[in-house]
Amino acid sequence: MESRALSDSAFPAFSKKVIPYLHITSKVKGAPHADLAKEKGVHGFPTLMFLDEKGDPIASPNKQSVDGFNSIFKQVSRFVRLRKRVAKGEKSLVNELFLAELEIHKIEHKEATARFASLKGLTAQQENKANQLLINSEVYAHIKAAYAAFNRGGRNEVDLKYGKLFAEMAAKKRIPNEDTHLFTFWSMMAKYAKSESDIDLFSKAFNVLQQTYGKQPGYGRVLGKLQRDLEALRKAKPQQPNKGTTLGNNHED
Amino acid sequence: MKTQQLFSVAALACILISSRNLAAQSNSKIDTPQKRQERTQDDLMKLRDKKLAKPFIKFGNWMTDYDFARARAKKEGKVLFVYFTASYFT
Repeated sequence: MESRALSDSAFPAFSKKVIPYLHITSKVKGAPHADLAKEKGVHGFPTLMFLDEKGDPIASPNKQSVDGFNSIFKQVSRFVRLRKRVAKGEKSLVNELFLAELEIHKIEHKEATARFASLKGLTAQQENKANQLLINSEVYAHIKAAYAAFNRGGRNEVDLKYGKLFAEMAAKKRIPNEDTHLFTFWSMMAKYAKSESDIDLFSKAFNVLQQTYGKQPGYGRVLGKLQRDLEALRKAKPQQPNKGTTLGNNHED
Repeated sequence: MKTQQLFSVAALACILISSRNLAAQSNSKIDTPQKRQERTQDDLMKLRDKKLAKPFIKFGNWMTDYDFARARAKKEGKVLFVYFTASYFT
């Protein structure tokens, strides 16, 4: 991070838009705000986070690049502006504020679902956007739970459990559109499909990953492995209709 | 023949000793929980200062005083962009 995104030639221009604050947990006795990371819910180092002027957490960038910082900064700024206007009494912006909060994962999925149900006067466009953002927030909640489970061990079981959940979501056409979670969503699903020998589902997941990440650097090895897995699955089950989970059969190609 | 054998043994011994030294050197770079516990306040201060001297800090205009940063954020109507890192381990 320090030698890449934070040393990128575009970083100084970004840092002028915000107040960049560096917090070092040093364990030096008497260091000011020694427990700040813990207070703000930091689970590991390094962590980047946007805080408001009161010091309340707003959001964390999910891409470690200046482009990623700028992209979430726009969403954070919009959220801050809307929050101020709603606090001043502009009730007509309550729905927009909800969408802005959902967009930056400021609210947990359960709370978001409950608040969505109680919103009034949503336009069709707002409702469509909210539905997609709720899918994103559900996937985000699953991914967070999966990562927490990884830390407790049993990675393979975790992959299969969440891979199955994602396959069920995809079968209902509940697919996230956030670039940062797409890879985990489809790759966990591919692992589940492999374990079930579900060639249709595996092909679907592989094709999406290939189309989305095939031309991006750093994905060659993973995609190559998936390609070999797909060939192995096809060899093991030549021209046999899948009679396993059949979750894959519900997808449109 | 005996001289050749002696040379072979000596060469083998040299390889073994140097590989052990290399292993010891690389082990000394590995930060273990035990090493972290043994660090004195002086060690921790040195590690913090080493971190503070990194070029990315000046490059990105990072502030290191939380209260000052918050006051600036309030005054300028900006949000804080916080980089949480640690210096007590390497």
